[in-house]
Amino acid sequence: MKNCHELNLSLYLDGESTEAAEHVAHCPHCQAELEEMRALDRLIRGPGPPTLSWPRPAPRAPIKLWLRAALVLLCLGTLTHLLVPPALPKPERHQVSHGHHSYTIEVRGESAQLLQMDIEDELGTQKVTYARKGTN
Amino acid sequence: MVAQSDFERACLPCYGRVLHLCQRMLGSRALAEELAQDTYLKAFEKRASFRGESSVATWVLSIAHRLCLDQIRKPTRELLVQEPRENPVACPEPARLESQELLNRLSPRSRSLLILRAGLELSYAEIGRILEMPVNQVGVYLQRARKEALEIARAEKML
Repeated sequence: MKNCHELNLSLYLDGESTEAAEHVAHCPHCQAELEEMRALDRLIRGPGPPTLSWPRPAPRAPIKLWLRAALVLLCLGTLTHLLVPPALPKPERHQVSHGHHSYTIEVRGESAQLLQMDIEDELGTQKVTYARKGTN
Repeated sequence: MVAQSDFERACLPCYGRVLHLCQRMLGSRALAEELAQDTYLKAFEKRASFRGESSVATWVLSIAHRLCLDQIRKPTRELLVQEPRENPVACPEPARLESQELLNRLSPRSRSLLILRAGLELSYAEIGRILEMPVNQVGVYLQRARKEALEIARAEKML
């Protein structure tokens, strides 16, 4: 039988050889050394096994329900705005009189004011009168 | 040539072990992360040379180990200085600090052997492939490494 110094306790500890088994069973010195080796392994292994994985981007937090609803409403609003043409303002009829001549013009929204400005530029403000004739 | 997706599928699961090996070999989390990335870059570049004689994990770990040894051989000694605790996740526990202190005092060969066997629980055959030594020598050197570590641990009352 080999003595303590000839035996490789690492092989026995790691289960690679059973050669030292008989000796260890009867040798308190080797039993103590084996125990120290186990403690050393535990110390090197550390508190836990390496369970790290490849770093991945942190998962995004789930979108809250109210935020989803708001997003849906926003999308619907945008779609509606894009697909449905805006309602045109009702036309206004104006009677424009200049001298002996009288014209009826039909304008919508802001264009009425712009048209008046154009007419005044052409004919002169003093001579032009406007009269709203009602709406359609 | 191994496709990139196949390579990722095979290599990425062992990233934790690669990082663990680098961190324990160098004693620095920041340096270990850098080296782990270098390991994967190198593994990707050399993926055509992988012959399947060992597992992918063993092959990647051997690349990481070689890079660690290159790093240790560099003249700078800053790698053995503990990094500042700026990141609470990377902050090592007292037991890990103690074991790192012990590992830092071992020779690179003993350190490698103990990390691969006790830390990563690899078989002698896998350790042999990584350290490029016959399996029977792994047992011999591991015995020496444990004796060397035990002497330090006893002297420092770590056990």
